[in-house]
Amino acid sequence: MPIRILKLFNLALAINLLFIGPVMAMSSQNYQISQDSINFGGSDDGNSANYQLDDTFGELGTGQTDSANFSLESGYRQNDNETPFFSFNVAAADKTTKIAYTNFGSSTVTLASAPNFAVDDYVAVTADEGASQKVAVGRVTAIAGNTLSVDFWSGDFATMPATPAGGNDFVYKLTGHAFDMGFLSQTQVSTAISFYHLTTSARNGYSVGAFANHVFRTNTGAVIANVADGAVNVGSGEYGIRTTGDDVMSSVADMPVQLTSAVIASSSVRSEVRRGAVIYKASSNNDILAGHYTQTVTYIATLNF
Amino acid sequence: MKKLISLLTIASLMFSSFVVVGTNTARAAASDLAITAPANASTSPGLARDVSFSWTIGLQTGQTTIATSSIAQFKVKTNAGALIAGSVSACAASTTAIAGGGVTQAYGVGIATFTFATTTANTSGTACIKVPALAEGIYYITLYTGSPANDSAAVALYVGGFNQVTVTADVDPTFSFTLSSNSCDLGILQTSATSTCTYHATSTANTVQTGGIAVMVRADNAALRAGAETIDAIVGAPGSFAVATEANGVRLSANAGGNIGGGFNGTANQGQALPTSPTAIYTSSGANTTVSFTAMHIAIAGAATKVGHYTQQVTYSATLGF
Repeated sequence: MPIRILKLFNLALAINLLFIGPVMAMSSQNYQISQDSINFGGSDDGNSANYQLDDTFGELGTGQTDSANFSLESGYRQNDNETPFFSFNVAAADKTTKIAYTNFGSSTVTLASAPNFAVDDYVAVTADEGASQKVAVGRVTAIAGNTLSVDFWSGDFATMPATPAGGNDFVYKLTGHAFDMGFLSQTQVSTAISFYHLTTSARNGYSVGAFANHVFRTNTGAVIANVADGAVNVGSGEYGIRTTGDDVMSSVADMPVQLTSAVIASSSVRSEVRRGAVIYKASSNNDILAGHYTQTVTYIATLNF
Repeated sequence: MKKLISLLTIASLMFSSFVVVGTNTARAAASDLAITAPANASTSPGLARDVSFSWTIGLQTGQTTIATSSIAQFKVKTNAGALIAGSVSACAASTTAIAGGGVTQAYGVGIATFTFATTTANTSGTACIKVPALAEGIYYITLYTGSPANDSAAVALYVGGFNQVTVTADVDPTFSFTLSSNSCDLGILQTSATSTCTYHATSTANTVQTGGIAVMVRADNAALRAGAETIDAIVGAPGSFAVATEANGVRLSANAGGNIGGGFNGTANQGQALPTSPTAIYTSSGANTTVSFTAMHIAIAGAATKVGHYTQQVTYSATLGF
């Protein structure tokens, strides 16, 4: 073989090895890539009616090798059955981070003043806080000046105006596990926000259920009744939640928080990253007794492998 | 240079074509391994706990026999996917049971492995693992069923309140007292019959007071007065009005949530003199949030009653008893 051709072949080999990269796992604060491989072919989720094919081409030296004490399974797909991943985060909006915004974009929000947020924070953007409040949640991926960029929005983002109006549109950091609505009014609906973020490799989807420890009540037994007509209205003395986001069961009606787990979002197909927001709403009237009302809502993720 | 790049590309693709190794895994689209979420998936931080599982390997779509498993391996992981630092151990009362028996158990940091006898048709099982004390957070436990079943599943494990949100709100106390009218005109008094006028009083609170609501009343004078002339208060508690005998008084009727006191609950043609110092005339007990009554002022003239415009100022107040 001429030297020139040999050099060429060696160079090709080097380039090829670059593309046949290492098989490894990666993770960050918010994502986990359980396994990856750089090859030239193959895909996940090739589907037919009865079968699902995950294929990979271009790996070297794959397969199982056994010795007396060890078993080596090398190759990208060898690990498929061993590392299901799951993460689930639940948080409430932090009122101390409340800040107005001037523009809401397809993957950005521009704050009215210098942001007190950091990359990888989850944020909730609200529009028209109150009975008809809309919410979008996302993870901050970059901050430039007063503009936050997010990975993507989940929730009501498609119907939220680019330019907020009315002075009741805000951005919150989603952190912690408590939200105090403050003093309820007979002239407006008070709201709180929480969200969940789920990642999973479950092949057949997931569901997120929610249940409350008790009705929205004081420790002396005074109750703000659960919404029964699909809408928490001003002056009605009602309490309920509305869900919005990926795979939610209903994003329109206000509904009661059940005392036994009720599914608020679900999917029967592989759904690796899913988010949802829950808007809690309460209103008061003359029949609502004075006191400190409280309710703890527990969120449970169920995976379907 | 172009030729060089083309040659490189061709050479690279040629080389790649030599090393294609299929490592495909084809699995049934339908779920085959089902793991039951443990009943105690939510627990308190800092406490080791026994967590029990059951699992079933189902018939895969397109297959005619259910695959068996050689092991059931549990891994307890953090929300970030790392094995927990503590060791998994055997439950105090092991419930591990595989059809046919032949189970050996091994425990390690974050891992519990149950190995089955190769002669056993292991298509389902139950197991209990003791998860060490964990900090508050969300964890998950994976189950891997060894060959030939070769499948995995996972369930969540919640420690503390990281999967909870507590919502609170406050409602301010409110308290009101209203009269339906601030005047009550008896008209032209007669000697042959009593004259009356009425108004309603309502007190509302949104507190769960245990001492109820008390409505107090006082008049500037017990008599109706027109300058120096008077129509005296009726005598008796309550007293009865008589034809041509001048007198004035008040009678109450209850509407909601309380009791009439101090002789103001007379029957028809009866009344009670109004006090000149605050006196409870209508009280409730317990957690009433609204009390309401109707006050009727009653007067009759006598033969000696002087001409004039008689008046009396009556002041009400309400208090909450805690």
